[in-house]
Amino acid sequence: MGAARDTMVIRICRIAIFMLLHATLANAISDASRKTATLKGKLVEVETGEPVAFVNILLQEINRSITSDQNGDFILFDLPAGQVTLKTFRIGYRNIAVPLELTTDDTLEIVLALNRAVIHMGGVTVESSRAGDSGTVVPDILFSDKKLHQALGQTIAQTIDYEPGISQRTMGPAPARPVLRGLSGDRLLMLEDNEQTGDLSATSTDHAVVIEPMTAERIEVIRGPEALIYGSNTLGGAVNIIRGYVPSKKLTRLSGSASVQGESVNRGFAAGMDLTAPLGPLTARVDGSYRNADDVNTPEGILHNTTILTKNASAGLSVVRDWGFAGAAASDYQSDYGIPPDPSGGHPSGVDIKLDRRHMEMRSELRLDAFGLQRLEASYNHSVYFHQELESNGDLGMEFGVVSDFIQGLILIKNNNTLKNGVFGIRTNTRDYASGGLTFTPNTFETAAAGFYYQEIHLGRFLLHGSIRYDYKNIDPGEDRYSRKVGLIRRRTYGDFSAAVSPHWLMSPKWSIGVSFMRTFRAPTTEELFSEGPHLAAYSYEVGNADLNKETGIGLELFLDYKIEESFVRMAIYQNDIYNYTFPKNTGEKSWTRADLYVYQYVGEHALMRGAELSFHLPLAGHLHTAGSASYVWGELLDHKHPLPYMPPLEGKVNIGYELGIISLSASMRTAAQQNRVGEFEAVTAGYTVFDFYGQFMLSSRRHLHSFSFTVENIFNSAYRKHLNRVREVMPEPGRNFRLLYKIFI
Amino acid sequence: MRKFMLTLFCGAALLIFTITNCSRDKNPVSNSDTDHDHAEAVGLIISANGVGLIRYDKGQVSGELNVKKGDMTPLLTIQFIAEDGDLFQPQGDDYTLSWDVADAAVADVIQHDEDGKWRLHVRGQSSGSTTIVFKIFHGDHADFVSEPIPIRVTD
Repeated sequence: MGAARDTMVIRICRIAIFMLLHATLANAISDASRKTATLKGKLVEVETGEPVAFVNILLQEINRSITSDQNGDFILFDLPAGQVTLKTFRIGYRNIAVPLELTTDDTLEIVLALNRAVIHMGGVTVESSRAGDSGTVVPDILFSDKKLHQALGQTIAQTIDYEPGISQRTMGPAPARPVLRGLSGDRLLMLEDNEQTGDLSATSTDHAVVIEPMTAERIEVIRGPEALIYGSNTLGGAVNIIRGYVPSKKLTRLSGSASVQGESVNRGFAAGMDLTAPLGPLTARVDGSYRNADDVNTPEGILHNTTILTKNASAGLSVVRDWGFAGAAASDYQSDYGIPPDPSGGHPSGVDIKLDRRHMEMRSELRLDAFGLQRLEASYNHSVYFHQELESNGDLGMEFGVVSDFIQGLILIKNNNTLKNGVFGIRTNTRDYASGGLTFTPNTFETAAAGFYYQEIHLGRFLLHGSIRYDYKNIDPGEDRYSRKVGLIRRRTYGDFSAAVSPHWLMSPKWSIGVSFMRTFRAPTTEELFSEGPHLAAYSYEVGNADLNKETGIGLELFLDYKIEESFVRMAIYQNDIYNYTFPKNTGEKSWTRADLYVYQYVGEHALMRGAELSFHLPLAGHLHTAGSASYVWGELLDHKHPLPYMPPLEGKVNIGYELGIISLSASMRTAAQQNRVGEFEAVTAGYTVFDFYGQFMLSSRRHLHSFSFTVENIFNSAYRKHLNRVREVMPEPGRNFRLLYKIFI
Repeated sequence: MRKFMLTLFCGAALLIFTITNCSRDKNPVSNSDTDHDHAEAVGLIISANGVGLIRYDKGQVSGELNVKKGDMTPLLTIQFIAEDGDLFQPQGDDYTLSWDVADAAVADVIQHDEDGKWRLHVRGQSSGSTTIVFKIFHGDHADFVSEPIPIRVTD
């Protein structure tokens, strides 16, 4: 069979690439001259001179990091000589960046004074990347530390839901996925430690993302040219959850955190922990989490069949030296969750989903500082995903299995005065897809490869980000067959360039203006091409379209930033013009074979989206500050002059916060206008306004840092509905919710 | 150091080779699960004594099952309509007939051993109207689900 032959070819290519990468690394290691320095430091508070413990310290250019001990001290050995930028990150303190010059065979001793900080909550916070990732990409939105504690929800989508331009597509609380500027599915990539997860969350509303927010170190939202590093179809961008499976830090003592969370609206309980420790010459890391929740309470009653039980664990081991690191990790994620009853009444008891994802990865990084290169990175990810959809009586509806392999190599170019953060990359991946139950969808084997280049150019007040990428994808169903509904099922091959460029002009120290232009390419998925059969939990009978062509998007964005000290205002307007925009279109007809389900046929149409965003953070009198955001997206299917279905309405959020030392309080209002621009067979959703409260208290001892967070969502228990909730006709959004989170750092 | 590094990377390469070749994961949805041979019905006909009573074809239901309270219908035979219009009854032990009556207080279904898999009686329990949905079960999933078929129970 063609698929078998491809499997062998790809397997050989995969091995060859990895052998080549490792041979290159080994040779480079042996050839590059190694001159080392030592950095010794102490962190103290500006006002009191007291030591500050648990500060994450990052040497950005060489991606080395460490955490200060209870005396505020830290020491880093075996550092390459040269210029580095030291950055600090600590809850409750302002981040700083300090340039340092490290000298061969010398110890540099420094004392850094940290100011207590006002943390932006609810607005856009732009910070630099931290240890554990490539350090190449600066995210547009970053959730870490206090901001992550405040927003931490059951899912990643719920956690980042209130950022400007971000919504969440839901079908019950568990299968939630973010939507950015109206773009969802794989137009907004979900990444874990910079790599795709191998799950099916992009293909259907009922499929959950296999990432647990409880064990996330931070969440980044990446847009623009940087996003093309991760995929060719990132018109929406990429959401990158940093968990740090493979340790990249060299530690001298045990480090980690543990947290417990409880909430009232679903009697939910969650607990998680992560520990990293030196283990002889190695560094070991383990993490795990448990989440259990009952049905969700709403002001109009209980939304049945919305329970969730999720277990997740991982273990990683690496060797970290002055030359870089190399390591491996494995993880398992299991979830058992409910899909609420069908709004049209077809499944009054709902559907249950059981899923399991096993994952293994290897990652290595070599710091070169030679041949004009900064470092090399190589990674291999292997994922086995399995999920079953069960009727309420336990009968199997469908099941899916996906085996994915990803290999990536990156060459990071050394910075100079003009060119910064350059990266070349190549990647290849395979995907073995199979479905069972009542389905006529053929099993397929996909192969894909890509090459890309990203570069920043700094010319005084002018900054240019640019990227270019080529992708190839082959989808082989292993048969040639004609289906009356789907068309001629056969092997399909796609390939095209994608590119992006974003010039910024720093008009003054306070004002900057920029534009971003992006051309993206997206190949149809197996499901879009060849689906045929009922999709139980999505309450649909899905019919693919074997003749679908590639989807291309042209994105244009204009943005204006004002920033001074603790204040910022950001405005953006954008347009995304998408040819062959592929989506499952409700035909309004029931399936003859499964009369309990409506037929959704995949189509490719010309779509246009236009939108605007505003976000701000402004200090008020004393310890008060205010932050807020507003966003709107307009979407139209141009061929039929119909609104695009499932577009978020005009939304906004504003909050007032109070920060005094270890205490922070915030009250916020969320509001949305009525969405009356609806697609065919889609209902209008009324507008709403709801109020939330957040408080956090921190205690720091010599050995531990304790964080207590308290959130009240929907204070007045209002009955409101979100337009992107597929079961909003059954029940409104959750009612008043009290949520407590305790986290201890050691 | 050089020797250590070379050993490490050779070891990593060997590990990758082992994983990708010797223990490549099989797709968890096995071939037997992905047997795409299903009963491809687009409708059904319910008849009694050779006379058609109900026809569900291409989304449309015509006819109604009538039964008196406390009585049973004559033996009803169910045949399915294929896409090409042919009538068939699924062959094989893994195909079974299943049904859901919306209101079992109005009517229920009686199927005797001697009736066979594709024949049954509807019994009137109390006067009123309800509906019945027929399904072809194939192992653990439904290959076919009909539109609700009306039942009227009279005194």
